[in-house]
Amino acid sequence: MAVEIDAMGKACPMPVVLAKQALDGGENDVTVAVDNQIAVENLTRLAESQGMTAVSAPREGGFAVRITGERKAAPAPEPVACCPTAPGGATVFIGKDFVGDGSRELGENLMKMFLYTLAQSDTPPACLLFMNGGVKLPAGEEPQVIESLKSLLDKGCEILVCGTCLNYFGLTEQLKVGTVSNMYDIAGRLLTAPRVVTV
Amino acid sequence: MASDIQLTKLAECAGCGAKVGAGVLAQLLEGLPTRTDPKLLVGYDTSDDASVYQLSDDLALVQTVDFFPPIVDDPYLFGQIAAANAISDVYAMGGEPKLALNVMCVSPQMDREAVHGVLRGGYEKAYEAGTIITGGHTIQDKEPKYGLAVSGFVHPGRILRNDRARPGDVLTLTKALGIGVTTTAAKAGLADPELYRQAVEQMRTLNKTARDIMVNFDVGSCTDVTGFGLLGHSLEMARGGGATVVIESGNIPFLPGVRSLAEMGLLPEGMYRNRHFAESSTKVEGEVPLAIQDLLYDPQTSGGLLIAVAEKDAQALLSALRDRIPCAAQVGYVEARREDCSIVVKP
Repeated sequence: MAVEIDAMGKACPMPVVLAKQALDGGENDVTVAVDNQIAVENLTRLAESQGMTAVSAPREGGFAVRITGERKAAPAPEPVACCPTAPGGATVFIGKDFVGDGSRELGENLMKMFLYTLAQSDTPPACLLFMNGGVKLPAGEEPQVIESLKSLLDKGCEILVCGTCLNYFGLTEQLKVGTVSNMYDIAGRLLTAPRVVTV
Repeated sequence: MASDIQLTKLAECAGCGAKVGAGVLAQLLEGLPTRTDPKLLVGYDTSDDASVYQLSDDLALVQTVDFFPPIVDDPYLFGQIAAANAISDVYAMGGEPKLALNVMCVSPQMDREAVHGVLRGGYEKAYEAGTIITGGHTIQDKEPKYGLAVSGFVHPGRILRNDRARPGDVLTLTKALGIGVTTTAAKAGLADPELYRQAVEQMRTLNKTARDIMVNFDVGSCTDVTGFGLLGHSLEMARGGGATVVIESGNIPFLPGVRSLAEMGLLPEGMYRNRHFAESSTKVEGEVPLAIQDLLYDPQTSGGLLIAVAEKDAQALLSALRDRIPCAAQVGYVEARREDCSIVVKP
């Protein structure tokens, strides 16, 4: 059945949205009245992406774009080219540069091993958040720590480092890996993360 | 506390998409008087990112202004994005921003929280850039708008102009493309939330890191990719340098999922303006899908730096960038000028 859509006076992307709704509803003969050339171009692209044909003709005050044909099945989702999406892993909050209490020296070594283990993991965390003494890790001199963090970054893990904390310790210029961040972002990550691990 | 106002509903155009097209702008400005001054190192004539005025042998002032209507609904994020975008022009000249002034239009629908949110976003982003906002100017308007006039400094011998691409240079891009398509799809409710989150994150990320790394290498030319799209800005770079820019579209970082949105025709008006401006100087060699071509013309808001670096330094620059900016990529190179085109797009 033929369907007519009046998209006159509607700016992009509304004509495309209305046409797509009709196609999603199973229509295979949709005519859209539009008043600008850009809408014509965008509707033509929509038709092609669905394996259908668009023909446009001038009409009073604009154009009529008729989309017809058999709609092809939805394509497989495209692979992500770059800027890897954060993997579905945990968000790890690191508020000091050592693990546990008892021996500080042991704790520092444990932290080094902890980050190394994260970097080697098949399911690395989605996000590392460094605050207070934790910022001494990405801004520190320990090569193994920096290497682990860089490797996590390469795997798509987001690394946010509290700027106020860096400043407090005079380490702003020493940050070697990660993004300088703020309370707003870090709190936002903590509140929206599906799983938070605190070290 | 948070404002309920959806800022993008108050504006017709969004972000850098509101920019007057490059071709139209040139026509509008034609015939206006210009003055020269030997100390004006970068002025009106090269449509560069900012103007540069020499103060002493080792110091020059960089000045720029940029503002636009809301590109996101959240006032704080809008402030952050607009500030990152405005400050970026100083980075694109190789400079360091130091002082800024707010430029703001407040619409009647904006309540106190919304205005505060925008300004707080701007202040915090400026602070992150090491820039102080010292005042500004606010007027009433039907649509909200926000941005900054920014001043910074650069060494007169280390200015990175947008038009000095040298044959042999390698082009490096520091942010993914697809912002215009994403925000258009978001208006239609068709942008995946994760895509949208990444787009916003990218827009409010300063180009400071990229600038700080870039200045350690032999860079011939630099610009930030904004309203004119990658090809529009590449065209300025190619023409000024008397060279031809080759874009390898297969190496370009795109935000995840934007290709299918572009295929679906969720393209902003600015994309067509940019295509109109640059297409006649552009030659496509080989099979480049239309959606990919469209994305190369897609207007970006607070886009990345496009850096033309000497070939000998290209790999070192890329690995230094990648440490901090995982999506940085080599997207093409500069050739001796071809007779028939200023830009070549390859698969």
